[in-house]
Amino acid sequence: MPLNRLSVTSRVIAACSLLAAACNVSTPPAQPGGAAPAPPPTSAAVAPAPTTGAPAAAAASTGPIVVGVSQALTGDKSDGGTAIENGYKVWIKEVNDSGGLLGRQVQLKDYDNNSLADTSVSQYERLITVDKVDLLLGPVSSALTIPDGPVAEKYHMVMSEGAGGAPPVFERNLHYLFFVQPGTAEHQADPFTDYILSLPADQRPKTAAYPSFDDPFATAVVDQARKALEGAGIQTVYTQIYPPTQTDFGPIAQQVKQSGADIVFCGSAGTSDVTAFVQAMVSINYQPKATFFSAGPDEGTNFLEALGERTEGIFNAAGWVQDAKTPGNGKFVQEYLEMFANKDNLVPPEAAEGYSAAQVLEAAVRGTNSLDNAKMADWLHGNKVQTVQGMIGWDAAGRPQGTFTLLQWQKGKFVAVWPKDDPSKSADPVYPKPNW
Amino acid sequence: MTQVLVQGLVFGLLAGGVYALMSSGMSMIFGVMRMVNLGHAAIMLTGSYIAVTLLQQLGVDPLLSIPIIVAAFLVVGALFERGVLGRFIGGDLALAVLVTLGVANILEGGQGVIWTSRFYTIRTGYSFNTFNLFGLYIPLIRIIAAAEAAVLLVALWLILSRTNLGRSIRATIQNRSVAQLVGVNVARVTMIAFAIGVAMAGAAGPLMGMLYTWYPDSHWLWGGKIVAIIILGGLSSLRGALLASMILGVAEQFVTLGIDVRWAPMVFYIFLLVVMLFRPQGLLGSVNRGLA
Repeated sequence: MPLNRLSVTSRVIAACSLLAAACNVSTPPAQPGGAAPAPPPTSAAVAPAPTTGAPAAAAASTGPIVVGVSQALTGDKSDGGTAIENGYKVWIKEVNDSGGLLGRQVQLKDYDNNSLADTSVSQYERLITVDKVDLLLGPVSSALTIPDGPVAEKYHMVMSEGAGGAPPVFERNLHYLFFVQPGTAEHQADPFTDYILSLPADQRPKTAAYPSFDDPFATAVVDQARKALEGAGIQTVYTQIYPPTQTDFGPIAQQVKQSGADIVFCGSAGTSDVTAFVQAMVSINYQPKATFFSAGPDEGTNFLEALGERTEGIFNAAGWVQDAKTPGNGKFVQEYLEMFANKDNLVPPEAAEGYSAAQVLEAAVRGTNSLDNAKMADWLHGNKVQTVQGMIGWDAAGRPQGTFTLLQWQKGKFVAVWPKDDPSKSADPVYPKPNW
Repeated sequence: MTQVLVQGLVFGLLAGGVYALMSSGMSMIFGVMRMVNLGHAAIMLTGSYIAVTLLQQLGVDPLLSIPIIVAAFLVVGALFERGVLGRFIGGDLALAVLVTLGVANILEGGQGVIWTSRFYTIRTGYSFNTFNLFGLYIPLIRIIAAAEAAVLLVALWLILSRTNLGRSIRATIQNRSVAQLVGVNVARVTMIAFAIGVAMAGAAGPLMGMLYTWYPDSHWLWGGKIVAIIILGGLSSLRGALLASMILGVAEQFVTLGIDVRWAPMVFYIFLLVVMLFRPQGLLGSVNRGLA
């Protein structure tokens, strides 16, 4: 019997609905510890009272100290999330190998939030109220930290985080949030703009293009760089915000080429979009004099593997380089490479950011000799902490007060090139960059 | 500006060729089984993961991995249809669709476990090569991907139009009951058609992987596009899927170039909505005619 038209259509609609529904299903491939998915967020009106005293009481226990984290181990932020998480794991091993914290072993309790903010919020609620973790570490990215920070604040739990530094993170003046990088997101590209503006006028680029991933961190970096470069007379010839689902960068590359931009400053998500964008620029033979990507070039061996020799000349800025002479850095690098060996022997800076965030948490515990998060927050507001990214201190809203280093891929190495007097600097910037 | 538009047109047509390969298998499975295979894009990504693994571990060029993947997926597809999915055909098709949704989630989870959640792309020695044709720069891999898609689609068309098996598949698509009455072994034909559909999805994997980056979740993005293509083309119409792929490939490029990149993903669903409202059978689809 022939299939009738209505039934075909209705089945298609049903199938599409299923597909749409399925798109919203959060299906992390692995829930560490076999934990059930987190419950929906508790509304503020019925939230339990702040539990300032609870973790302190737990300090008397002899069991392990549990550090909770909701991390982007899958989804569009998973490259960075995994790197941060690996930094946490190196710290856990190091602390436990040296006798633990307050005489107790340290244990990581983590959930995969699939790069979704609502999942992340509910998982932090669960970590605090159900799992009753002693300490918290932050997720990757500003997009996740912006909603997660207030959860930690509500329960008076310190959230030390290495990768959420966009302006909105600090707008609510959270007392318990500490961003562990030398500076905030909007200042990430300061050393790049400083370097470009240090060039003699006849060598400076005249025009710039600013494509950006739709993300608070990426757009904050782009806005600040654009302001600085426009202020110095470098004309903006192209701007474009692209969504996380962007897979084809051919049209964007064509438009940038058409704009005649001398340099491309991209607020990127990570290796994925940078790889696709560079490939698209190469394929239409577009040769900018410089390219800066806010995220991706710092993802180490993944980035090198994806782009090979096309990494040459690509800029990024970070608070850390692998051969930094900061105290403890050599040990961290060695331990990271033992735990997460890769053929290029590269450590992604995001792993160092995660490790540093954990170092800050450790310093607060040791500084107060307790797990009382209220005391720890006060201690951090009054002290600076030595991390592998350098000595870091914070203002009242958790903003760090330092500066970044400009890094560039040169001959398969990611090297510090600016500021001129940066102790980590090991090469001069290459400008204009060699053709792709 | 003209050059940018021409370049967009060429890129769109080349992308359309790959979209056609991605959607042809799902279109055929719908024709024979009357259900949307929600695992189609996850199967395609499995092909991408196998290709990148063969390249990294054994140095097998992704284009050479296609016949290996096609052969393996034919067998797996046939076994799965015979052992699992075939039990639902003739019964409640909603259950069969749910089974394919389960397949999608299982594949996604398995890929996460085996290959982790990091982004992958397939980079070969020729990934960055490009042709300059009258001032137009065309990436070699886009040409290769479109050409490979064309070869596979022609092979599929030849099977469907020139062989007894193809005639049986077309008869089953047109009217399953009548096909059975005239002696077509529809159970066997359904199994083979499903296996071919799965193999076509797998074959598209290495090509997708050479052109784009992906991670286990990405199949939802591609699944949505593929469903939009087969509905626009006309469910079960191979020619319709080809035409819809070209239209949507070009429209996606032009919207990105002319309006805004953020509108591009919506192109597929706007077309889908318009077609559902005004021509629910799709551009070339009809109630009783399919792949003819």
